[in-house]
Amino acid sequence: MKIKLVIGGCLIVLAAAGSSLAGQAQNNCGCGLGSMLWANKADGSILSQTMQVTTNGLFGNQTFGITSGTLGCEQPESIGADDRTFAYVRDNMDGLARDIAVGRGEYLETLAELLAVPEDSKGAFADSLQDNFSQIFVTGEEPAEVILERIVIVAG
Amino acid sequence: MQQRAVQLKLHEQRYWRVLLHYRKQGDGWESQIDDPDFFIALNGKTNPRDELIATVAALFGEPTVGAENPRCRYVARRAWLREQLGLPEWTTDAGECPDFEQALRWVDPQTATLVFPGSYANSPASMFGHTLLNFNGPYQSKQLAHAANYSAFTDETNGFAYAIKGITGSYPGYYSLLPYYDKIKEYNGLERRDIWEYPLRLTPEETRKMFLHLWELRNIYSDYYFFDENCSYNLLFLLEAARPDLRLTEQRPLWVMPVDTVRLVDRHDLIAEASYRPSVATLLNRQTAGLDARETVIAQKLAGGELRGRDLDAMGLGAEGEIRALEVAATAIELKFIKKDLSLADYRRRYLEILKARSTLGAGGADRHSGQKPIRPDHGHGSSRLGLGLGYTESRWVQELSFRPVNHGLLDPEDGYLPGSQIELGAFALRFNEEKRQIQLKRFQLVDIVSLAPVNAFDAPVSWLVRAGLRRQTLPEGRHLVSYLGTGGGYAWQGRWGLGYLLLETEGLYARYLKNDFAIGGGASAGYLARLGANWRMHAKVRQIRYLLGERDWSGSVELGLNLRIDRRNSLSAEVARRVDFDSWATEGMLFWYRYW
Repeated sequence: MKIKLVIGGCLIVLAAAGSSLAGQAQNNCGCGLGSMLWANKADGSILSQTMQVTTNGLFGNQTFGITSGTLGCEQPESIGADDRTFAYVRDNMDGLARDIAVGRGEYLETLAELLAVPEDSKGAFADSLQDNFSQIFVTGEEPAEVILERIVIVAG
Repeated sequence: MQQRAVQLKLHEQRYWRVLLHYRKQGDGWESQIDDPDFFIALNGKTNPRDELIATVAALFGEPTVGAENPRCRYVARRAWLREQLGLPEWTTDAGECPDFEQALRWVDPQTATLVFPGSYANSPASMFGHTLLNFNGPYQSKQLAHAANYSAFTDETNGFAYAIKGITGSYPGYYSLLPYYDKIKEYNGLERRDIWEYPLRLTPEETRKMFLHLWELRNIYSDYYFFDENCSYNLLFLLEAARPDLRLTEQRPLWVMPVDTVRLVDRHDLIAEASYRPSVATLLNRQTAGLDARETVIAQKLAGGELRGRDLDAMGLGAEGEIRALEVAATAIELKFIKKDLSLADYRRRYLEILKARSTLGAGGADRHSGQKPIRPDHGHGSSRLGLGLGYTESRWVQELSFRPVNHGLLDPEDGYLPGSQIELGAFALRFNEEKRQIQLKRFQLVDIVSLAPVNAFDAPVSWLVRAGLRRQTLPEGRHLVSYLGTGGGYAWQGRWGLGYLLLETEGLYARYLKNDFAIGGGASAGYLARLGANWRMHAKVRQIRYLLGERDWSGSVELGLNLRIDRRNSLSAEVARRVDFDSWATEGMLFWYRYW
């Protein structure tokens, strides 16, 4: 388990052996809104999902952290989008939700690019997602594949 | 093959030295990398020639069995050696090195960007910022880049040991590569730091070379030093691997500030422009500035959960007003959650409710990321400052020479720096004493940090200061050097012209000339820090401390400072103070010329 501090402007990552902390981090992870922003309120530590991901990226078995990930939120087998799109939606659900509600923004543009929405359809894409926001984000607990599936259906 | 490589003197070539991080050490060479796994020859750290021979043998000799195939690990050496030895170009899609090939395909490096997350006012730990290097793939969205980062790893939990070890290089530093959007969440979000992005003038071929070298460095450590061989310095090796003509790591100063590496890279003409990515906290401040009083109250209630999104219609704000209030409330909720003032369940419920209400209002509102771009941090004044002063006090003229290695004071020109923050480390001032005809130490500031973060409608951050050092001051028996340690905490407010603040302070003094050698007390300070026009700054301050333990007495001061910015390298300051220390009053006026670099 790794904890991270920043000192002197540069990054220091504390790697502490503590399986109980690790367990908590996993319990708190889950999917849906907020899960990738700041997981660990429970133990009051500076440990977070993001940081866990950071260190996994380095020492874990992932290939040099080129994709991050949340335990329990792995990509299901059959989904109509590529790995990058799935990972993006999973890891950026909060920013995406806001941009969809507002009708514009960098997260929305990134999603449109990943879904290969043609340039002249991007306005309509943004409008239809905004109009259907309540159908896409119903409880805020939906995992990424559900959100992505709804987005794809809404966007037609 | 080995013979041929040696005959060609490849080990004496610049690129070999870059790839192995060799630096001249006396008569020979030594690699900056400390991990033995990085070298193929046993004496590779200090012998470029033996390392070359061993590398050629490992890459082009009989394939090795077990462990990680060196051909798939030392990919930059491999690509370069093939070129130098006249071998056909290495194709990276042969399926020989699945991990590497997959990473290369996934990141697909085309161009690179230097990324500088700045400092955050209220986090002493992120004082100097940080640097990352982004590999941009074929996407328009900057978020889809991958960020290379160099950082130290440790299991130390004792803050003191940790600082000492960090300074003396007892921690291993590693490179990592992660999706840039994770870094955006980390810096813009969790740490509330503004990010600057500087696209680099590197070709796709150069960017690719840099990526190959990064691959070689994965899971390889070097001793990490806070001040010089730190996060910023180590990224420079990657840039040299991209373009070996660049000589970035050779002239290493005593300390490497992240912003100075940006300046260094800029001096080599690699930076064309800069873009700005405000943090969640900055966004909230900017968005709130666009609200009127009533909208602000409603946004506060929405963020606090006292008002539901669907009840907004009854408030009579009009569509545009509702949009503004809802969008501010959404940002405020994000910030509350990041600060852990909100549980996950509450966050989800409120955030979703606000966003649902917003989604029914269609287009409109201001782009959250529009707004003025502040001055680039690398365009601020230099990190070091020399001061020459002339003044008058106690019926005599005084001359002062001061030097501050790091980095910014409240009165210095603010462009490029975080408003209301001061970080002064290791500064000292010397005065020429006419009577004694000798040079005396006036003060030595080990640390002097002030963070003034204004309260706003959604957040009331604590402003604080901490300082320690030596200063020459009036004591009950004449003027002497005193050791001091002071702390303070309070609040700051954004006024029309600048920041006002009120801090409660404690201070301890230690000197032989005090009763029982010490004095400890408490008091308060208040001040106003204003920007007057484009180039003038003013800082007015009053302070009083009452010493209750040891020597019982009091000291107080009224100070006024004015600074005129001349250009990026020069400013003039006028500082007037009237102070009382242990029953002795004095008035002093000084004029300074400051030079920054």
